[in-house]
Amino acid sequence: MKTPFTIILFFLISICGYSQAAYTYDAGKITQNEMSMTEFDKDKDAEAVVLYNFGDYYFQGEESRGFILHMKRRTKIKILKQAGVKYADFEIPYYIGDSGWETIDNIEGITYNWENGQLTKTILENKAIFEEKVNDNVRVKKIALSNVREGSIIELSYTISTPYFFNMRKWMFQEKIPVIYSKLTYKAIPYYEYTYIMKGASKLDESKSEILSDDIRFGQLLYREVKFDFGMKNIPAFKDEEFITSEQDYMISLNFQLSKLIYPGGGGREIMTTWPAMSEDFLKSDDFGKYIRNSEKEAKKILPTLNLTNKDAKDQVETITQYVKSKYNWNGIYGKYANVSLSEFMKQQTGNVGNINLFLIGLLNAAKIEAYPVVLSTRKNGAISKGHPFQQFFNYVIALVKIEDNTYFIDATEPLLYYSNLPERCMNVEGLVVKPKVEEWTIVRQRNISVTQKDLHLKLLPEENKIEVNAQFIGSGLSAYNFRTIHVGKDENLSKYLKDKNNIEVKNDLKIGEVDKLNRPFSFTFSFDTSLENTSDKLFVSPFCNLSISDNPFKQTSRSTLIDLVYIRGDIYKSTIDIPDGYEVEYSPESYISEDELVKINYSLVKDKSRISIDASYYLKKSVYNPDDYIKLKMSFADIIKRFSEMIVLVKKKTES
Amino acid sequence: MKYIFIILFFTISISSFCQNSRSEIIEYVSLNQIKGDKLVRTDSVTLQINERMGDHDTEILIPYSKGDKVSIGEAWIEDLQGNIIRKLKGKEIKDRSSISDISLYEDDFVKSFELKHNIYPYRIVYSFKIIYSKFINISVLNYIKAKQAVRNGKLIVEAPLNQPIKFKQKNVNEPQIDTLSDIVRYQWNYRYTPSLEEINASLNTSTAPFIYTTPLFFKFGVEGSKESWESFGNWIFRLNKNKDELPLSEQQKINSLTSNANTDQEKAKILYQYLQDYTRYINVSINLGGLQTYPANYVCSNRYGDCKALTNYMQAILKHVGIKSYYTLINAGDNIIDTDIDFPSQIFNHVILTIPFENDTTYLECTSKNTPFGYIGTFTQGRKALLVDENNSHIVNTPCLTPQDVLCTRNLYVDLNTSMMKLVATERGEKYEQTSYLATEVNKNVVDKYIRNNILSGSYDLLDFTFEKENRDSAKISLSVNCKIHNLYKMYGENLIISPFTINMPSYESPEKRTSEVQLDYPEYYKDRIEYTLPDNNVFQKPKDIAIDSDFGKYSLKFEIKDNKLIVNKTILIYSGRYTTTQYPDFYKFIMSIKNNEIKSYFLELL
Repeated sequence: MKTPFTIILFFLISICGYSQAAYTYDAGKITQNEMSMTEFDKDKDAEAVVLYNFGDYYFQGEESRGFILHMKRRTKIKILKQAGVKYADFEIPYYIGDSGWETIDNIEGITYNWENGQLTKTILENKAIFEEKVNDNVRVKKIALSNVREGSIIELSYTISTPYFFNMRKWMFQEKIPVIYSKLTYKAIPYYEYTYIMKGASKLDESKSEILSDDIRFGQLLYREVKFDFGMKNIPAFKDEEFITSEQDYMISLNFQLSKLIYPGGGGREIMTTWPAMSEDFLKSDDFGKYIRNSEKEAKKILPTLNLTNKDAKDQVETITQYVKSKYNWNGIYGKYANVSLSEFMKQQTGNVGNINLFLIGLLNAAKIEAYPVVLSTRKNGAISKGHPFQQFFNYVIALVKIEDNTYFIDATEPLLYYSNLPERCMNVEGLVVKPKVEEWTIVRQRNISVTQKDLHLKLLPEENKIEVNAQFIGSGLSAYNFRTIHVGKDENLSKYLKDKNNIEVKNDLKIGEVDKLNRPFSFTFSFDTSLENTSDKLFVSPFCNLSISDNPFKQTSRSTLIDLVYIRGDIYKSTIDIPDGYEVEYSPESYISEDELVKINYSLVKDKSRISIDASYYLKKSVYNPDDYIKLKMSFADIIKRFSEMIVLVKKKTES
Repeated sequence: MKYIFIILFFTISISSFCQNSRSEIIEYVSLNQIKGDKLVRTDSVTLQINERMGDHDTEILIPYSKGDKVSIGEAWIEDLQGNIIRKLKGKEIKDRSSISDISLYEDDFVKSFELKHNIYPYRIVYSFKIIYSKFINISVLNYIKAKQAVRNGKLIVEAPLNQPIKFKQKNVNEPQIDTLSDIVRYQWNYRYTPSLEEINASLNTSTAPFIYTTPLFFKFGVEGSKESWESFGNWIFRLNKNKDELPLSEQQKINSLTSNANTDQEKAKILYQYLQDYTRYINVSINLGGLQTYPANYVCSNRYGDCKALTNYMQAILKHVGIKSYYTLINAGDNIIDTDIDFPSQIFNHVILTIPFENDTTYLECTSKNTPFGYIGTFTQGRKALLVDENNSHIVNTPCLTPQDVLCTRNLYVDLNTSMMKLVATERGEKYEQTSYLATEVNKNVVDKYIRNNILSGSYDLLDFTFEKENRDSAKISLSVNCKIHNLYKMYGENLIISPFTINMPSYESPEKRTSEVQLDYPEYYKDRIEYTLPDNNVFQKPKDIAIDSDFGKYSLKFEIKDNKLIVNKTILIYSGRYTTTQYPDFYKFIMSIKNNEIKSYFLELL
């Protein structure tokens, strides 16, 4: 009785090439379920799903080049929607350096489709693989698989080989589409030790190691490999959220850092170090510590020209920083080390972050000001893992200045920012203060808040149905910087900004306050007309002329990650309304104050017979909030928007009898 | 890191584009010599950087294609007295691929270098020479929308007597023409001052210099001539000839797909939908790739291609079932650039397919995965195109979108008591193209942002949304949205004030500032019906109706109170048209009156 059944089953399998399991992890195979699925049950919006993503990292000795690190990847993806077709396009970057090149080999791609009751396979052809030259060191293999459409399954495998052991690719468990199974196998050899750093999750579903029993011989060496397996299952798609530092901090991945070289003859070299030892290394380096000391020597020629003698320490810091900002241009490149030598930098007057800020530290030190370099990882670069002292994580350097008990963070790369204001990229990150023999951390925060103040004076002209408005905008802190970047020397840029953003037609009278003083708020005045809403005997006035905040920045319905707003911020709105003759106030909003640990809201209204004055403001008390605060923040903003947009109703006085 | 920086850099340079004096070209001399089948271009440039922001313009880019020879001459920075400050070193010149966003690969590259100084103003002086191995134009110089001023520009073309050229220019004087033994030398002098970019500015009446020089006879793949559209079309025909062979399996597939269809129209539609369902747009442009198509079997095996490959393939499968169609060159884009029909040349950037059904000429956009059979979109409507036929190539006109083609409607049901709102929006025209792309092509997260930016502005919680497409033959898409609106209304004593659902109009420049003519290539048409369920059972006095009728369009706002509901009917129609600066004040007034009425709250009085 059993035989015919088996035969039928066998027949089915051989016809379709199908397996009956839900998913298969075998190369070159697919299952009935994979082919027929039209949505992913755990995430019905998913446009595609990664069925598996397998990595195999191992070393192999080569006669001519020594050990080479091979990183093989094999992935299979089901395309569920038209939007998912883009997951059939791949870009694989690789590196060509002075001491060897990386290669990408064995690129194999298959597209599976079900057509007219038949399974078809389309094999990726070599001539459909292209190579883009990004620059002299970086190339990208570009692949678009053939015959891909909604419903297709694609499979791609390739091997990256590199002589650069520092460049072991991190393993991304999480992607922007769901992943059913992701697993990395890494075969360690006794000569290179790596540290694993997990991001975005605290543990793996699968993590084991075993010593393999085969002896491997390469030249004089005889060794065994240790095999590690790292696996995760059912990883949800990574969803973008606003107000986060870096996706890198949240997407689940495993990073590798070469930490130690072990010499076959015994002994070894630590690459992972300790934080104090790393600081020592920085201070000894030609492009860091020595560069600072050389800058100090150059300072002897520069400082006398800056008239520092009668200034206190704070003014001296400001003068020196302004000098660096005005004379030296940032070339847009980050880096904790100086990119070019001091003499080259001074000749070209252009350099990377290291060149500029380490030079600044040298000048400050020469002026007997206590200043230290702080190395850090910028917001987009991801957070530092304190358990892992690796230099590679740092990509930026700024100055920490101590004057009496006050600490200032200074970055001289942005000329439009006030000397003690930091650009957004290095805010709210932790940095290592580079001092000899100690480990000292600091959190780089901006003390100043970013505040925009809008002062309005409204003159109502009921006969003409219009309001004449005199306005003054004042930006402080980062808000001043934002206005300065809009303005960049031309008043019409601000008029255009007001027109585009607020639909205000500025009368040709826009005037800027003090532009040159970066320490001062940026202010400007202008006037415009707006229409007056009225019915037969009533006037409806928006005191802030729709210039108060109207868009709630918090739009998500839930939140899972920290809300990083970069800096503490707030808005102030002031309005004075002259009550026209013959009118009186029928309705005006109540004054209101609310304060909790998140937000402070103030709305105060004073009125007499001839005018109404309103002072309204809100402050966000922190720059970083917990995910739990999200809904509360959102509600607070809804409340702010509602209160600040309330109208005042004026009514014609009844003629007194 | 590098990528992040580049993007950042790019944004900065865009936002400060209007800084037209931050840098300027003092002198630009371009010498273009035809030497046999090669074109030799030698450019010498003096660029002046006037202020610190101008440092963003110091990266010099020299694009070229595989097969061209590029050499960069000496380059240096000098001050205004001519003292050389720094010379460029050879190793500072970088070389990389230059692949546009729409392409997977192109064999185009760019050489680049950067020279910066910090005492302003300073000058960058450089020169380069490119030997083009093939060319279809000599020099096309177009300053429309350019951001940098040119104080002294010189374009020189030298052509052998036996290799005649033709040319035209706009906003530039006629060239000086000299015949020197066996070559003819043409020289144009020009200058340019950039103006601010304006909304819907006509490119056709721009005052920027434009010079177009092209050989009358040329060889690009095969030999061709630009004496007439007929001869130029014939060249395209020969360049793409014999690329319509289909593998046997494909032929069988086509046969079985069309076996039950009776008319040619039916067959063509089935095949067009087959193309849409089974292929995707991937552009790989190598060698003659800019103008020559891949053969049809390239699309059969890869199921992808660019506009040329997909159009050629579509033409091939139609031919297989006996339907004649024509490869048709067009200049696609937002703004219609008028074709000079007396100056046959390669001015096209896209290809569509024309099927001359009797009394019903049909145009097919072969790169679209979701628009209906025969749909002509905003990018190709209302302009001239070159229909390619072996001996009878000629200019045709694509149809214009009518108001009915672009009508976007919204039905809103708003309950003031619960703040809940249901919206059903039906999009046509440009919004249909965008929305149907979103409905199929983009991740759901992105749609949320799109709705907020394009369909419904204001402060609200988006609860859910669904797209509905009637069928693939209708050029419209509907979107239903449920949301909870914040701050929808407020009672002030006896007055109820309700927020409107504004339709945003662009912020046109005021007439005193406007310098360019207006060009609206297709109409805009909106109809809203908003039903507010009012609180309580109070009786309200409705606001006044508004109706505006002008040469530029119509606007009407009508109110009705019925069964405790306020019903608002709104119509906005803006005609397509071109308006001179003399007409602009009236046009501006019309747009502003719509804009101002659109942002006004509705005031209802309790009776």
